[in-house]
Amino acid sequence: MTAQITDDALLVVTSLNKSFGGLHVVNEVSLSIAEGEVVSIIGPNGSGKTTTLNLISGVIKADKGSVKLAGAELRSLKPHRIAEQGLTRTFQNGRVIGNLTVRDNVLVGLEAVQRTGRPFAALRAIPGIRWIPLLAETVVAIVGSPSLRRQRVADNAAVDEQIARFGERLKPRTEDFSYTLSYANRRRTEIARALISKPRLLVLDEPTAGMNQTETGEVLQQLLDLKADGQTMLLVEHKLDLVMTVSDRIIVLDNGRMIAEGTPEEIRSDPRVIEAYLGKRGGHAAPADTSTDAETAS
Amino acid sequence: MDILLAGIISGSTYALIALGVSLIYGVSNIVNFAHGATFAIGAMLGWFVASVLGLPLWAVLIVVIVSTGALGWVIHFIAIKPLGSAPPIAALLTTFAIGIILDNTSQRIFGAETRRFPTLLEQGNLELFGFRFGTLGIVILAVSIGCFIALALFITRTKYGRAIRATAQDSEAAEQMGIPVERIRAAAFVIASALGGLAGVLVGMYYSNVSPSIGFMAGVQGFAAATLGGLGSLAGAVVGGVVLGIAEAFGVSLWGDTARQLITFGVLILVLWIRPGGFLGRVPAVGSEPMTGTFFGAGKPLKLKPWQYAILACAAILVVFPASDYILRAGSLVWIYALFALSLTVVSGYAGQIVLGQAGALAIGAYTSALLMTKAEWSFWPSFLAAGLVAGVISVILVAPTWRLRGHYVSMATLGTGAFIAALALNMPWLTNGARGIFAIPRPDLFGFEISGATSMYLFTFVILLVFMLLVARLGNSHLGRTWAAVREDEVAAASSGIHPAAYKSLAFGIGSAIAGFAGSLYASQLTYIEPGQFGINLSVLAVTIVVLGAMRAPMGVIVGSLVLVAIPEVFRGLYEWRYFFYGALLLVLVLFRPQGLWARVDTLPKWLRPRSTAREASK
Repeated sequence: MTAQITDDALLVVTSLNKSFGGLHVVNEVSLSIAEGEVVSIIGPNGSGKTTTLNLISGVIKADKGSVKLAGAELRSLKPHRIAEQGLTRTFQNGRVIGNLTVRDNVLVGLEAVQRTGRPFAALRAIPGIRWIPLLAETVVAIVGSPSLRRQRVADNAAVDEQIARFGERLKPRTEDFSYTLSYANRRRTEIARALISKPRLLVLDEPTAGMNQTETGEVLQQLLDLKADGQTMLLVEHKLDLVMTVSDRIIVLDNGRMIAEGTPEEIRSDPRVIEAYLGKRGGHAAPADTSTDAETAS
Repeated sequence: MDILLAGIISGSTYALIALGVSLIYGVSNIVNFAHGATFAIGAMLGWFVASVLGLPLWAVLIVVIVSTGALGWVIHFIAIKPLGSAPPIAALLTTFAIGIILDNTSQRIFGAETRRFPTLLEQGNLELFGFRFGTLGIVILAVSIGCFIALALFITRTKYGRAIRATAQDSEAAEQMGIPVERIRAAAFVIASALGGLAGVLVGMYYSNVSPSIGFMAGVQGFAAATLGGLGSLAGAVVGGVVLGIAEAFGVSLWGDTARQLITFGVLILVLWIRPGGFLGRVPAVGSEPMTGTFFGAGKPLKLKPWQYAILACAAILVVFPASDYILRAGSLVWIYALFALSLTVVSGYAGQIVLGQAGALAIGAYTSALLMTKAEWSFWPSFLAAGLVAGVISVILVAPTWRLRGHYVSMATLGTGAFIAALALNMPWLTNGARGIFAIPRPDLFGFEISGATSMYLFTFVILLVFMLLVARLGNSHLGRTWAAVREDEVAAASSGIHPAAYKSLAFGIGSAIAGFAGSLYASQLTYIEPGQFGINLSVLAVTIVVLGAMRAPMGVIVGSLVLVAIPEVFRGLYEWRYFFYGALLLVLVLFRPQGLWARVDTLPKWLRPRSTAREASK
């Protein structure tokens, strides 16, 4: 484990860069998140928000820069190793596993931390040698064991606990296949899947996209509950009232560059942000893509 | 220098084939597995027009280009267009099926034997700086180069070319700009197939003999060249074709003609290992498309009560009393093929990887067990275990670097690996006895008794199949089944949840290949004779068809599938030589109309049959 270089922040991102062809999508982005803090990234469409999340969570490889979670460098790690380190995420368009039930979908989230029934897990990172844990896992899966059965009961209870987070929204659908779910319920399933491994940092990519106002309000409440529990979060979101309510700090991106950073109050009054986000004429022209954005911004 | 020249000439024909592969891949994101068959049709048609009808070269070229172009349109109309927004796996299987149908139709029409292509142009009649070459070579080079230039000008300078490029970059945006995307895709198929047919005639003239079965090899050469250059890149196709041609020419001059296959398959595998993007292409950064997705999942596998399974098993056992030895021997083969196909239940059904070369694993198992029993005089059971183990280990090692890739790349790599193994069996006579094969393979034994009768072999294979089906079913219901489902349907989401996709794909493939190896051991002991020709592409097709027909994710599917596929040709004995045609046609019809297979309850229409808007919604 490398020594903590900067400060006691949980996540430290330094000078992240990514180009697609000639297009510099993420340009020298640096940020840090303290334990228990909620940080949001906002910015117009195409400003590099989602790409930044993809770089941090390892889905896309960064060209340059460093991402450290509790002092451990993540940039050279594959996404599954990053999940093991305690960084889990949701996706912009609700990526659930269609042919699995909601319960199984949430159970998939446990793979990052589950060790029961998966012997020799320490050898997994070594190519070639990883066949020892893989074959051992296969044998255990076929033979079964009392500890595996006990674990299954415990895991199912953990799933129920996650699903209860959403009240009666998801509960009646627990044993349904997730391809039958509504858009909003896919989101909830994904959030439950990301949370069940008790991540140190939860990364959410537009958790309310495609939700109506009531549903958005519910998500806001759930995020506030999570925050009250001390969950550290990194959020990309378009709906500004939600962002302003839940965030401790906000980072504004435009054309891949950070143009502002600060508390919700500071961001609200920052002229550069207003210009980038709302256009030059001030509060009335709304460039963002949903009507709620326009309402909240003006 | 002569070798270099020969390499460049044959390389230019590979480039023509590869151009078609890359053009279609670029425009439709589909690897057209029927491309080799189109090439072979072109060659046979060219032979027919030139030799039987006796027409001159220009007429031959026109007839072939027009007919294979039309064939391309038909392929698109039958195999691609009806699929709409179905995942790429569907098009992979339909074009694959069309290829099988074309190859076998051509064999029935023109006969399976090798024909002599008439000498339309002189060979070796010219000399320059001491090198001998012929008008033929010049014409082949000139035609190829002419095609490259014409295609390049067409793509970069014309309105249609711009539409093709737009479709290749973003088909949805192109559609909204008023480009008739379907017609552009059809046009790509027409152009590509005409180029393939043209290549068939040129190659036919160059080697002066043709047969309907040259298509498979040509198709793999096309894939190898296109992948080497960079799949989807037209310039890459030319570069890849010429490089492959030169490499082959030097290999053949060093090690003889049998090395040609090894070089082609080896190049394909190596490129996918080292630089899957090829010289000029690149593998897309975030491929989000799941290969199988909900396509095969719209119907749930049927589930029976335990006593119902017991009745079925008893029925299968009681068959031994009324049945003749002939039927029981066929029955043993059904169980062996079912066990073979069970390998795909794990790797394709559970883990979603479409593997097109499982005959390779079967061959390793068969050879391992046969060699251990005949040469090392091991008894059956240790040989049986070794067969599965060796097949699993070798397959895993050969395909290992491929698992960081997805979709078509996996299918091509396994296709190449399967063919590579069959070619190895042919090219290592010191070990495998080469083309003569291995005779007098002993029967299995159990507690000291030899199992040789038809009845005992039938029961023996059935029990082994049952054991493996139970193991596979248990795996599918375990947490591993869930992990595989996550990898199968959304690798990116699975990885972000802490699952290592490559490791679990490789595990499924290893387990599958071991099962195929066990099946190979039984296969060798059932037939008591094996030779490399038995383990061709047709056997891999059979396995894929069995699981698609039965049901991909239910172990019961392999019994249903192999009963239908092995039993029906037995019933229609008179049409026996049509059976592979029938497999291809059945695979095509199934993928188009019932992708869930027979052993499934269908509660909704397949995705692509539903109205467009709901299909889009569901795919989000």
